[in-house]
Formats: sequence, C-alpha cells, structure tokens
Amino acid sequence: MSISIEHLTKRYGSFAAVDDVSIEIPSGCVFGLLGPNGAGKTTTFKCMLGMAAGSSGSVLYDGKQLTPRTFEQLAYVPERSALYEWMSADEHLEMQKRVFKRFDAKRAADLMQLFSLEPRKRVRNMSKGMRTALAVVLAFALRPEIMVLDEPTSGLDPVNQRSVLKLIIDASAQGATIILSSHQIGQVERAADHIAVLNGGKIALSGAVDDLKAGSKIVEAIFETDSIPVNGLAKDARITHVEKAGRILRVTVSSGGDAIANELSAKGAQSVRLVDLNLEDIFLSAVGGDQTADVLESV
Amino acid sequence: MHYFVEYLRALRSMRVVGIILGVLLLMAIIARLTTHLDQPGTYFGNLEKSPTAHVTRTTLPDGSVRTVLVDPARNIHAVSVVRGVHLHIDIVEPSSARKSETDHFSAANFSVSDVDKKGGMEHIVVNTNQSGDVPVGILLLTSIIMGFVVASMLGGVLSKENDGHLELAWTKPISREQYAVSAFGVDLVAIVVSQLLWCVMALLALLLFFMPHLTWEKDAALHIGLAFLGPISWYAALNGWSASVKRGPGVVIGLGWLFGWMVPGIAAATGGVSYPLVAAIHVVAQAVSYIDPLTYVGFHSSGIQVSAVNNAGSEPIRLAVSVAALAALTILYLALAVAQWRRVEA
Repeated sequence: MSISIEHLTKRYGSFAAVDDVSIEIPSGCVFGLLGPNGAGKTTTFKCMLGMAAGSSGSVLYDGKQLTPRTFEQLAYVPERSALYEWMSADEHLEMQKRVFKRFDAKRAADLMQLFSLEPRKRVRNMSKGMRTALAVVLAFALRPEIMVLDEPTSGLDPVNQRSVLKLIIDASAQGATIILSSHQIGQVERAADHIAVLNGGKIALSGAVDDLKAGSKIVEAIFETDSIPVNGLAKDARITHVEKAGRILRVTVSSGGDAIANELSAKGAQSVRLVDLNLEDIFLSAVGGDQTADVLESV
Repeated sequence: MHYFVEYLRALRSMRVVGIILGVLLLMAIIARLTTHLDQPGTYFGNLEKSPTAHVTRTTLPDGSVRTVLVDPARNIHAVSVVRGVHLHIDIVEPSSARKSETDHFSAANFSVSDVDKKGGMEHIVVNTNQSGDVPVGILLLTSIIMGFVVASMLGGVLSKENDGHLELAWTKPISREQYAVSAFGVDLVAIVVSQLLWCVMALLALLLFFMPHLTWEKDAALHIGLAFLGPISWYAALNGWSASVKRGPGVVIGLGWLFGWMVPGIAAATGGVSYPLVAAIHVVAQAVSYIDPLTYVGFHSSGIQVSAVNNAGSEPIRLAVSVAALAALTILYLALAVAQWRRVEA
C-alpha cells in the first residue's frame, strides 16, 4: 500500500509545525523520516493518522482518504507510550486480539519472548524500554500492511534495538510499507530505502538513500591562512552546506564534488580531498547541525 | 470488541462495588447477630411449651387466630393474634423473664413498643410481619447511591483516553463516534448492574430479618426511572464536562460534585431574599441548576429547588418531570461529549 502526502501543512496559530510537506512513499518501501527535535515528524505522523487535522493538504493511502477501515491494515508505534498504566502486557495483547482480525497470537507470544517481556507485568511497573518493546510487539503482532513507527527503538538496549531493526527489515521484505522516524540514524541507514529530512516543518532533503549517498560528498580544503575566499559558494546549487574551522573549509555537495574540488584548488587551497558521506553526514548537512565549526552559509 | 479497555475499567469498578456491598452485607449480618432478638413468634412458642402454661386458641370471625396463654407459675399472661402475615403479641411478664435488655426496638417489620414497668412487671406489645412488603421502586431508589459511586468512577471516559492514550484509542478500525458510544454503552451497563447488585444485597440483608415480599407500589415506574436515570445522567454530565480535558477527568469530577451540590443549594438559600445582589445570585443559581442532574434527584437536603419541578403539581407529575429532565440531560450531555470528542486532537 503506497502513501502519498501532498502539500501537508499543520498550523497552530501562526506557527507552522508542518509546512507544505509532500512525500511519496511507494508500496513495500521503508521510508525514514528524519529531523531534529521539533522538526515536525510526530505532527506529520499524527496528521497522517487523522489524530490531528491538517490545516491544508492531503494524505492518501493507495489513492484513498484515511478511513477507520484503513486501521485494519495499519499499525502505529507512537513516540511516547500510549499504553494503559493499569493494564498488564497480556491485557494489551488481548485488547489487540479482540479488535484486529489480523492479530497473530503466536507471533505476539514469540515477540514477547524475544523482548523478554513478562505477560502479567503491569505497564506501570515497566521501564521505558519495556514499554517501547511492548508497543513494538502490539504493532508487529498485527502483521500490518502499513507501519508508522515513531522512534520505535527509544529506550531499548542495543540488542533489542537490533531486534527491532531486523523486524522492520523482515516486515518490509514481506511487503509492508514502513515509515520510520528515529534519532538512530545508523539504523535508518540500514533499514530505509528512502528518506526525507524535516527541518522547521519543511522538507530539507528527500530521496533514495543510495542516490543521496552516491552524489553527496564533502570537499575538504586546507588553506594557508584562515582568510579563506568563500565568495559565491552559497550560490552554487550543488552545494548544500559550507563551514569553516580555522584554515579548513568543508563544503558539502549533493553532486559535482570533483568540479568543486578543482575550483577550491584554483582558489589557493593547499590540499583538497573528497570524502564520502554517510547518512548522518547528509542529515547534519541538511539541518545545519554541526555546531563544532563556524557555519558560514547553508543552502 | 473495541471497547475492551472500557470493559476492563467496568470490571474494576465492579470489584469496588463487590467490596462495598460485601461490607454492607457483613454489617447487616453483624447487626442481626448483635441485636439478640428472639423472633416474637418463637418466643411465644417457647412460652407455650411451659408445662404450667394454659393455652386457649380460637379462630376469630375474620380468620385471625387468637391464642391466650396464662402461666400462673411464672406469672405470665400473653395474647397473640395471627392475621395472615401479621403477628400481634401482647405479653405481661416479670421484668426478669425477658432475655433481651432492649426495652424499645424497631427494625424493618419488627417493632416492640409501649413497654411499662410497674411493680417488677413489664407490658410488652410486639407487632411484626412474617414477610415484609418491599416496594420495588423504593428499593431501586436506595440503589441510587451505588449508581452515583460507579458513575463517578467511570465518568469522564473520553478524557481518560485523552490522557495519553489517543494513539491506541484512535488507531482502531472504528470511527471516533463508534468508540465513544460503545464506551458509554459499557459504562451504562456497569452502572445499571451495580444498582441491581445493590438491590440483591439489600434483599439479602432484609432476609436476615424477615422474608421480603416485593410489591409494585404506585409510581413504581417513575421511581425506577429516577433511580436509573439519576446516576446515568450524572455519568453523562461528567463526560460532557470533561471530554476535551487532556489530563484526565479527576478535577472535573471533583468540581462536578461541588457544582452539583452547591448550585441547587445556593438557589435554595437565596430564594425569597429581596436584596438585589442575593436575588441576582438566586436567579443565576436557579437557571444553572436546570442543567445539574442532582437538582432533579433532590440529593441535597433542601430538596428540589427548580421551579419547573416544584410547581409541576402532584408527586407523580413532579417525578415525571424529573425523569423527563434527567433523560433529556443524559442525551444532551452525551451528545456534547461526542461532539467534543470528534474535534479533539492528539
């Protein structure tokens, strides 16, 4: 099932938490939605799921509006635990079983075992990680066609984080469409086919992970003095980010790295090298997040 | 079964109901055991067994059986008249002959009265029914307290979901309206069941003292309507007042009780006062009291103060007006709750 978010805007008064966001999520794709805190990821999810009404724009599932029946094929792991403190893990599973025809009790039992969850333990006595794990169990036991996972590894230990990642990849392999938000960018990089980076409610960057990584590079140039000629760099459409740390200039480019390197050599750089980017570098360049250097310009 | 969470909440409230009713029944048992009362008929029967007693039994023209007992050795003279389920006993005996230290006692269908002590003799008159009439409507009216307890426990169900659980509540394959209505349905059943359980407990407690005989009194239907609609309308009001509240309905329920009690009370206390400010307060309080379910239940000591009810005429008409008002408030508040629930955002 594909998801199409078109020009979605959500305003609270004059503040736009989500500002004209358009995302296409193909069927069977793992889509990573990245962004710093407050970027609008959770609000986007809530608008997608009808929990908050978008100020404008639309969200379509296989070209159709969201209806209650859509939830027969959809599971959501919220960022913050929505579990009932007074209920046990077992009672939560029973709740899902009674509501969803797709609920797989055996899979639920296997997942409970995987995360070492005690069925009779009440949520109020669970750690943050256990609550997250239970929310993951409730979602994955449904074997849904669409999964909306907002920080599904929050509070989990590395072993369980790896288990969640494996579950996501397996579900995707079986045809589920997954939209995932996480601050663990390494996990997103491993699981996601496509990503979008939200910053200040707007899409700062989006595309297939492989494409973004293939074209994106850092051109690192070392000059003789810290008086570096950077005029005009910001106007170059290939450059997404420029930062300076003393005599070192780092230019993040989405394409044309060799040409930019030659250009910097011509401007007097003593040495120039091209560095491949990982997803974290791409994310940070998109949101201007490297605070260790003087950010000169960001485009 | 998308109302499973509410079903669990209702079950938990039933546990509380069970504890309350269990304690009350235990108190009734203790009361029965500690009164040390001989059943009057048994006591008279024991007197008859005395070898020195002379007993004369006659059937009166109306079918009553009159038994006259004279026991010169024990200085006892007693008369009993049994008419259907009614028993009247008149005993004159030495004061030391009675086992019980109770001189005056009245409970349920049993009364001891007109006790004279002269020259070491006692004159005891006992009236009792072997089975007591229990009007169904009045019995149900006594359950209204239990209903209000459960209504307050379950009230504000939408606000409880709005307290951090919307992500679970709203990702079920049903509409928000269906969710709300099914939750209301579960809670209303729980309220009614709690009241019926109260009635069962009350009958068991009465059974400790006599055989209760249920009767359909005049206005029973209106009493029953009032008994059920009182707590239900209060439940509806708590939902209507709290459906948009994000952090749980606790404060709303607490303030609701304060509001429910105070508004009719203020309306009553300020009535008939000519001082302009007080008169203005009276007008406001009286107007607001129209939307307060407790007004129609007449829970507060001053009674129903809403003029529409007071001026409605005879008791059945006043009851009918109250029942109709409670039904209307129930629908109004539940509709208000659903309307808010549709607009709430996570």
